[in-house]
Amino acid sequence: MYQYQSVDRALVQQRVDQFRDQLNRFNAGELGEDEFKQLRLRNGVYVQLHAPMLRVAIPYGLLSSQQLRTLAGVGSKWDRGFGHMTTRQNMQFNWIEMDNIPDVLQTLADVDMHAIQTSGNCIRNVTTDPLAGAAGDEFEDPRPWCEYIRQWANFHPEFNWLPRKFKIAVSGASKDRAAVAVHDIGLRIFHNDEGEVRFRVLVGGGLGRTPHIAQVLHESLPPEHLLSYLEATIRVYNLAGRRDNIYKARIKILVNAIGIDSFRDQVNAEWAKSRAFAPAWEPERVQQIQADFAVDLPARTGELNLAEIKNISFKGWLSQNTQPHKQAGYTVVSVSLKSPRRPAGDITSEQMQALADLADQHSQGEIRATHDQNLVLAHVPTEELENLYEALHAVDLAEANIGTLADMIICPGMDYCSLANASSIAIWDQINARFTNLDYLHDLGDIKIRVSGCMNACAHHHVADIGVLGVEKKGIEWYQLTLGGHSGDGARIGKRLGPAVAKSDVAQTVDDVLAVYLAQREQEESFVETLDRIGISAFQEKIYATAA
Amino acid sequence: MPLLRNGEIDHTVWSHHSLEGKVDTHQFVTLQDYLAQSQTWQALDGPWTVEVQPDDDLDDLPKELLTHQHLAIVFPVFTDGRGYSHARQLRHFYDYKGELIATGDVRRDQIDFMARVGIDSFECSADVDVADWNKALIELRVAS
Repeated sequence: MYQYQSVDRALVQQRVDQFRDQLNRFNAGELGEDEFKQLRLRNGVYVQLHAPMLRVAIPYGLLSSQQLRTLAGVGSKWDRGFGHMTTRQNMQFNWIEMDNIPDVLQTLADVDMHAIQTSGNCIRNVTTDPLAGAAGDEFEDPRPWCEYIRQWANFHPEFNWLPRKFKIAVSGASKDRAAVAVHDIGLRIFHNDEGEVRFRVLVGGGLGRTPHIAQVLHESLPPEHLLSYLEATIRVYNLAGRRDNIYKARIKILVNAIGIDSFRDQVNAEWAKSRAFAPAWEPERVQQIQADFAVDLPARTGELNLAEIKNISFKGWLSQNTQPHKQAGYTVVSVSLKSPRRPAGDITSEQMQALADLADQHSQGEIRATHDQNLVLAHVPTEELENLYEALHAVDLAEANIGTLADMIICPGMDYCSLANASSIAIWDQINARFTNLDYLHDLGDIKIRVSGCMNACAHHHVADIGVLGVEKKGIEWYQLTLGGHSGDGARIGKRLGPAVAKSDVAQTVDDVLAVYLAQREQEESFVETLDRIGISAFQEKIYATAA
Repeated sequence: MPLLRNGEIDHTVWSHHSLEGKVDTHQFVTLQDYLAQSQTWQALDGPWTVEVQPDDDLDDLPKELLTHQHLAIVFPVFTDGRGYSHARQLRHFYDYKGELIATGDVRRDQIDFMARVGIDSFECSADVDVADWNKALIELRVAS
């Protein structure tokens, strides 16, 4: 993985010292609440319902075992013994005292970690494909490009006070596993006919109150122009994006207000003016970063024949929680954080410690964070899978539910968040309690349920097969369902099923939706394919007839 | 208001010109008001400065302002980041070589980023701790 240079280490240390000083000045009354809020946000510190929440960046979703142990330590020393994975490759701690945050940041800095720009109206942690460097369909490892962008974006003097937050995602494979189309800027790396690296630049995606799928800004951008083009794009947004209404301030609103062609014209005009003074193209630096990410896996020949496996639970886990690696003899393992015994995405400090050890033993000492609030061990020798499974099972990290309905994405909801209208975690429990039969889940196949506790859509419910949105009416929780959304290739926004349902009816309604799908699906049809063929009315008839 | 300039407080009092007021030295004036009486401003014997507002289009700046000794950039609230883009464009594309002054809601913890986009001087209150503001300029020393 990327090795911090002395400049990175010095900067992160200076940032910790700076924040400690800012907190001291705030406590001494020298810094106002409004200003301190903005400063702490840019260090990942929110004030939530019960306590400050600290959002730690996991750049490109990649952690060393040492870093995971440090997060475990933070969880046990300063939180309540656990951390929470977000959908954007960050880890959040929900119970940290404000006065301890400088010490936490120092502890993180000591292992080359930080919370810089994980919130606030600036360029956020750049996210990517959790299978980067291990997937067979990859053109280019996207992580070096994420790091190249990170070095430019962190502390960028011009873009620290944008109209609103700004999220960039990069995908380098034929399959988009980074949800680039729902980001402010999405980059798809590909090879042109000459085999050269090019970026397809998408702009204006995002969910929240006004969901939009990103549109193509540039079809084929050469890498030497990447930073100058990003600068021109974000400068146009910085100057022209709305600042009068927080709900209309994202770049998606600007792009859709003036149209993608007009927006592109403005970017091109700005680019023509400014590309000469943008950061210079340094191919040697990119090559150095690429060398840091390269993993040289020893040749292996181990194979597994599913038919010969007697251990039924191991077999179920293998078929659900593993994927082929690009190199023979290796397998990609998903570590499920969706045990029905814990809130989705939570991991205890003990589990982090155990997983760090397992990463050292079986996966080159590295762990990845996914957008689905799970973790991945990317380079596991196939012959070691059964041992790994037993060890993961022993610490409740081997629930065989990756990609199933039980692999739900859940925002923290009313249990933690002051914005939420609804208790997402209670809905998680309700759905889990109803769908306990793993065979049924496997039969349903790859179905995504996402539960957001409010319009801000942190769980990205718009891009789920079944989206659940908590709404409040006269002090009572109601839940609105959307069907047929998708976040990868062919990204699209789900359609509203109809009137919101009562809290107690959510799992029943999901069950009814699935019953329609199972009754109507033809052969291997996915949920979205069935929905498109029969239309949403077939679902509405069943749901609202039942309700009546 | 005084200015933090070259690491020291310049206590010369600058004021903000109003249309009814007299055109005078040591005033910040909006582009619109300057254009209404540009020759009077140009004839002054002493410093004055046009203030670029966040909504201004830099292409509307007349040429003589791009060679004027001072130019100010207004930050109406510290969270409005448009002035950072204006400063950068002025320094690079418009090749502005004079003194750039940040005015408005200028705060200690923002001046480092302002300096890094090419702003030289900062409007501040008379009682700021100069050593502390100077320290703010070098807290992230290795950021470029």
